[in-house]
Amino acid sequence: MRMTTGPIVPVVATLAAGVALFAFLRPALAVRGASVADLVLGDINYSHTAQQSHGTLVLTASDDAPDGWNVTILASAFVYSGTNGGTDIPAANFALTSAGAPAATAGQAIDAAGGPRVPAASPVGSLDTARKTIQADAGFGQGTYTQALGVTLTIPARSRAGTYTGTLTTTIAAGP
Amino acid sequence: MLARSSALILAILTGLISLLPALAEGPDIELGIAPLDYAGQYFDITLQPGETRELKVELGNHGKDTARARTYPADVYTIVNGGFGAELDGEQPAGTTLWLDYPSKTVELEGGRALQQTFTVRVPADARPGEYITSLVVQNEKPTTSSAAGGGIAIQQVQRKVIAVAITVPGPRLPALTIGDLEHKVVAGASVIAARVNNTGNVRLRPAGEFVLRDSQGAEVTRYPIDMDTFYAGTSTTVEVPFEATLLEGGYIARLQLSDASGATAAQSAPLEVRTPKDAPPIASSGSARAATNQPRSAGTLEPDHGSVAWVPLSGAALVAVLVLVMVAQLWMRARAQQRTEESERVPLIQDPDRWRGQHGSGRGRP
Repeated sequence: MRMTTGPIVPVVATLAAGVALFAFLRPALAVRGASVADLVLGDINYSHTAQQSHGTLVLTASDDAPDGWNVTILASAFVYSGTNGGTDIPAANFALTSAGAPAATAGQAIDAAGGPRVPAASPVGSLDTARKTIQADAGFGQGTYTQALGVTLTIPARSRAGTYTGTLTTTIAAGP
Repeated sequence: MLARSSALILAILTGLISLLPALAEGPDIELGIAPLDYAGQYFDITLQPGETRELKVELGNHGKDTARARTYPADVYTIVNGGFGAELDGEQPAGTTLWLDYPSKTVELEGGRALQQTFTVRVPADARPGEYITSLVVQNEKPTTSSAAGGGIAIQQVQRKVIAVAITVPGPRLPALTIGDLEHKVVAGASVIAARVNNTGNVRLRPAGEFVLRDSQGAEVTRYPIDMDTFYAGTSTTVEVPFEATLLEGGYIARLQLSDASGATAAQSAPLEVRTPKDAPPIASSGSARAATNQPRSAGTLEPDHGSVAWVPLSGAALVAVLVLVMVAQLWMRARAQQRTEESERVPLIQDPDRWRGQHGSGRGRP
């Protein structure tokens, strides 16, 4: 949500290189964001063989500037915590298996060519490397959009009971 | 009765409307970064070798609550299949990022406030012509709280906002492209053929081309269009062709051909040996089993192959409106039901006096 706190109120008139100053947000400052939520994975029980847990999560991306954007997702290793001496699950075991067509929930409508859209090159693959799931060209994507993503976590054989915590880094970027 | 219902509805509406301003204030924390005194959402500047330029960015918090944020310069790389990638916090900056004196630091941002940060870009005197790129990042200082995802899995999240700092050093443009090794791997129970590609020139590329897979006899198995996103100068990445399932065992010949509008072209063929993994994991949750296939996934819109998700988020105001409508409808239905009950108690006396008398007595005594 864009803040409309009024005009800029400069704290100091002169800025020197490297000096940080506080001011009220400009109304013109683009509000751009992306996050994931609602991750649901199938239950996993202890097994002597590797198992796959399929699930879904929902990506929400928003922007109010006309310059275009793209969103990537990157996963860390799933760090074990518990009392059974388990080991971490590598990030490469967490994979994006599908990326659904984006849906507009507010703002500019989706354009088939300008987006927001799934990249032409398939984004599916392991999330130990950043994967772009949605992008908007310049002039498009001024609004809020959701995207359903399919994911799979491969649990190594003999993984101990406990909690495995992964960190998802969601990045929304503006660049050439 | 109706008067009481109307008063109740009015009271509820008044209460809910009083909540709207709070809901309209948006999220608790919403960090942002944008160029200041510059037209555009990222920097794209041209500098001569040895030249410097002072730039300014604004780090903002559009939320309500005070946030602790990390900001830092980050190397840019080309992600799989092309596109913009920025290194994570803590990675050692190198290359073009060292041209900036932007400090890595943690800042506290009050809701609705911004921090203005100036920095200088210094192009080395011996910099060669070409298109260089780096980036500036702002993110939540610590990952958001863990949330259970089921089956002993929890997820925490870092949300990053990144803007590019693209710097062009004028001079000859030398587009060049090479393709390295191709390999087969299995990801989440499906085959992926990956090819290493290198932008060995000094300009950004957008290569496109085709991947062809043939069996050991030379018969074509599949043909797949390749459409890479931005491929940054001096970087390497992989082009991946994902398949719906694991490829059938055997020998193959894979060929990747790429070309760019700038004239850069490259092609590579390589033999691949596909073997079924010995420890292929079973599928743990509901979903269609993956059959062995030699067909790649479609390159465009991809739908989940284990069920689709219908998810329509409601904004705060929309949620309130829906709640109000539901409550009003319920109250109206109750009022109508009450009214009908009162009417139904009267109707038998008028329409069927004999039945009424039979059930309850006429007051005149039974025969």
